[in-house]
Amino acid sequence: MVFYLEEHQVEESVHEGKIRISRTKSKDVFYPLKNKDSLTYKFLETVAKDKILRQLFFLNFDVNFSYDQLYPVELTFPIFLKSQDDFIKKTENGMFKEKKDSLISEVEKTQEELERLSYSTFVDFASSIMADPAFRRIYKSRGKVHKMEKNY
Amino acid sequence: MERHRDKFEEVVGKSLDIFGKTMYVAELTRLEKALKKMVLAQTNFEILSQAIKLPDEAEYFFDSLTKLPKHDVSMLGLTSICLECKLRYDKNTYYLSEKNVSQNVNLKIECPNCGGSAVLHYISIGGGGGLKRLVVTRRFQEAIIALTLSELDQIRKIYVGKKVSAVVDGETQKGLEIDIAALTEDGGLLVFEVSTALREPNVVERAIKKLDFSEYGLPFSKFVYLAPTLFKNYLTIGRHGGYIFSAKHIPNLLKFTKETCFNDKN
Repeated sequence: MVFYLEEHQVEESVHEGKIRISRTKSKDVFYPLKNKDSLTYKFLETVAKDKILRQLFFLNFDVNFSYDQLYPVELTFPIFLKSQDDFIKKTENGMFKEKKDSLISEVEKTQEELERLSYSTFVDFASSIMADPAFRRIYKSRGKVHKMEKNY
Repeated sequence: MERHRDKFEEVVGKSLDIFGKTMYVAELTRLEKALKKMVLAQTNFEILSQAIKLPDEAEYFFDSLTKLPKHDVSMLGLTSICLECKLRYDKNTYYLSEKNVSQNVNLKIECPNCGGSAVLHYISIGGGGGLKRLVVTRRFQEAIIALTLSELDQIRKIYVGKKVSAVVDGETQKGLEIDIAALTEDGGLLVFEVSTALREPNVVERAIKKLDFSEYGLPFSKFVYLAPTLFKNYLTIGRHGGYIFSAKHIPNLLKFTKETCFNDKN
C-alpha cells in the first residue's frame, strides 16, 4: 500500500511492459499515512474495514473547520433512518407547505423585530445616558485630560 | 444611579424581551435549517439503504458508528430534530436531542414527542489534521477504497493519487493522475477512479471520458469507476473491461472487484 511515495518516481513491470509512477502536487496530503500507527491511518482503516462506515463516507456531508487542536475538521451527515418521501412531497407541495412557509416567514419577521428592538433599546439607553449632566461633565473633563496628554 | 432607576428597569425589561425573542428565533431557525436539509437526508437514506435495510437493521448502523469514537480516532456528535412535531402535529415544541457519544450509539427512529418518523439526524464526525487535509483535497474516499482493496489476495501493490505513465522503448509517455493504481499478482494493472458525484447521466459521461486512455497508451487490464449512484447493477463501459460501480457495490466492493476484475464469482 503506497500512499506516500518516498522517491520522486518508481518503475513497475506489468503484463505489457513497464509503467512509471510519479508523485503529484498533492503528495504531502498522504504524508500522515506513511505511518500505520498514525491516528489518520487508524481512522481510515476503521472506516475501510466496516462496510457501513465505508458507505457512510459516500453520503452528502457538510464540512466545518475549527481551531480545535485535536479535531480541526468536522463532517456532518444529515440522514433519515426511515424513508420520508411522502413527508417531503407534502412539505414541498402538499398539506404541510403552508405551515413550512409560515414558519419561514415567522423566522424572518421575528429576526427583523429583534433587530429593531435591540437597536431602539440601545439608542434609548445611550440617549438617556448622554442627556445626563453628570455624564456630560465627566465626558468633557475626560476630553481635557486627553488633550493635555496629547500636548504633553 | 438612583435617578436612572426607571430607565434602567425599562432597559432590563426590554433586554429580557430581546433574550426571549432570541431564544425563540434560534429554536425556529434550527427547524428551518433542518427543513432545508430534508431532501439531502432522504438521498443519504437511499444511499445508506444500499448497505443495510433501514430502519430494520438500524442497530448495525449504530454498532458501526460506535467504532468511531474508540481509541481517540475521532469525535462523534449526534443531533436529532423531529420535523413532524410542528408541521404535522402542531406541537408547541419539537423534539431535539444533542449529544457527544463515546459509546453505545442509539438514534430514535420514531419521535418520542409526537410519534412521527420524520426525525432528521445530524451525524457529526470530528477528525484530526491528517483527515482535514484528505477532506480538503477530496482524497478521503479514494484512500478508503484503496485500503479496502488492499485486503484482496490478488492485489500485490496499490498506489494512491499518483501520476502513471507508460514506458515504451525506454521512453516515458505522457502520464495522467490516477486515483488508485493496483498492481495484481499476475502482472495486471487495475485502475480505479473514485467519485462522489450522484447525478447519474454525469457519472456515465465522466466514466467514459476517464476510460479513454488512448492518448496515454496505458497498459491497464481493468478500469473501475466508482460513484454513489443508485444504479441497481454495475455497468459495463468501453470494449476493454471498463465498469461503473454504484452505491450498491461499495459495501461489497471486494466481491464485485473479484467478479469483474478477476472473473472470480465465489
